[in-house]
Amino acid sequence: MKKMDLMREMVLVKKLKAEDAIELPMDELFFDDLHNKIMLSVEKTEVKPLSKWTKTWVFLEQKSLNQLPKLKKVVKLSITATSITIGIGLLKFSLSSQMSYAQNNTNKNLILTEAQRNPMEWSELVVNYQNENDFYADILSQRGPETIVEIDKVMAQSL
Amino acid sequence: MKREIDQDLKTDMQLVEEVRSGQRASFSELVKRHQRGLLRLSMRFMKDMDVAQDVVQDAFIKAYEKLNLFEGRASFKSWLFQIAVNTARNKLRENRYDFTNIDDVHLSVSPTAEKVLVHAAVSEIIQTEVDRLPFKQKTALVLRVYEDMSFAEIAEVMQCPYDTAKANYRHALLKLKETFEMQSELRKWTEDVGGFFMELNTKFVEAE
Repeated sequence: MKKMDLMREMVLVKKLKAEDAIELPMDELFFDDLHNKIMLSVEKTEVKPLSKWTKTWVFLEQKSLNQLPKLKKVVKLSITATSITIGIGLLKFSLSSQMSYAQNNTNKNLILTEAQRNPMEWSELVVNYQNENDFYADILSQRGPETIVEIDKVMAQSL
Repeated sequence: MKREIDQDLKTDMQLVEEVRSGQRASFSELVKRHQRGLLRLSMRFMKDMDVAQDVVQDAFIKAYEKLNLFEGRASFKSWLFQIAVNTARNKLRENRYDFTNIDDVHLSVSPTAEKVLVHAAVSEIIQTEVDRLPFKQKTALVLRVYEDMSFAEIAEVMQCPYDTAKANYRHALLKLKETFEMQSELRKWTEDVGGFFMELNTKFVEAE
């Protein structure tokens, strides 16, 4: 297959050469004129002396040119890696927020069940708290291990 | 006369050294040696003899100015071609030369003149397709196909790694091959003109 490609390439190159449309003047005078024109301009020009930094600068310039394709690859890879990391981060964040939302819903159900059992006591308690989480935590701390067992039961049933 | 023969025998590097040591006349020999090649190369990019001459002149002046930067690691020709290619690219960017559009190529001709004109049109299509290639790919193709340069030399001219020069050339050929296969005029021309090579190709396929 490789040989076939090479042959095809050879044919194409031969075709291109055969159809070369560039024709240079054959006249020697034309090239003498061009030469004289160039030399006339050169007469007015001076060879620039090498400064201390010129060689270093040119060396760095060439190095950077040679490294450009590699640099492009590195940039592409870093962009891909960053995108993947951000993607995974976002996925994790959305999963954790979904989980905490589900947990909140379970807590609400527990509180409602408790409130239905002892409405008076619970309404008094609720008034003293700013949010549901404080309220729930306080209940757990004030009540004994029995309450926790009860709540665990309710949780197990709700699951 | 003797001086001219002496100059002929000198290598480019020797002449460069002479110019560096103050013999401006030695640069004249370098111009004589390379002006044709440089003009041909410039013509491929500029398509206009006057503009191509300007590119050659500018390239030689830049080369003269920067002669102290030439270290001789690459050949003087490659270095000169590198300057000419960069000059041509800058000129094209400045002027944004508008080359022949493929839509402007008319193929509707009288049957008698058809054979001659179709060939001329095919040649024009090929040139247009080559001109349509991205600058780097075109440079690699031109240097390889028309200037018979090695990939190492092309890499020097294009100031890029060897593999990049090769990849640019391959991409250019691939694009041209696709275009040739798509255009019916070119397919027909391939059968007519490229008979020998097609025959060679077929034999090769059979042998495989």
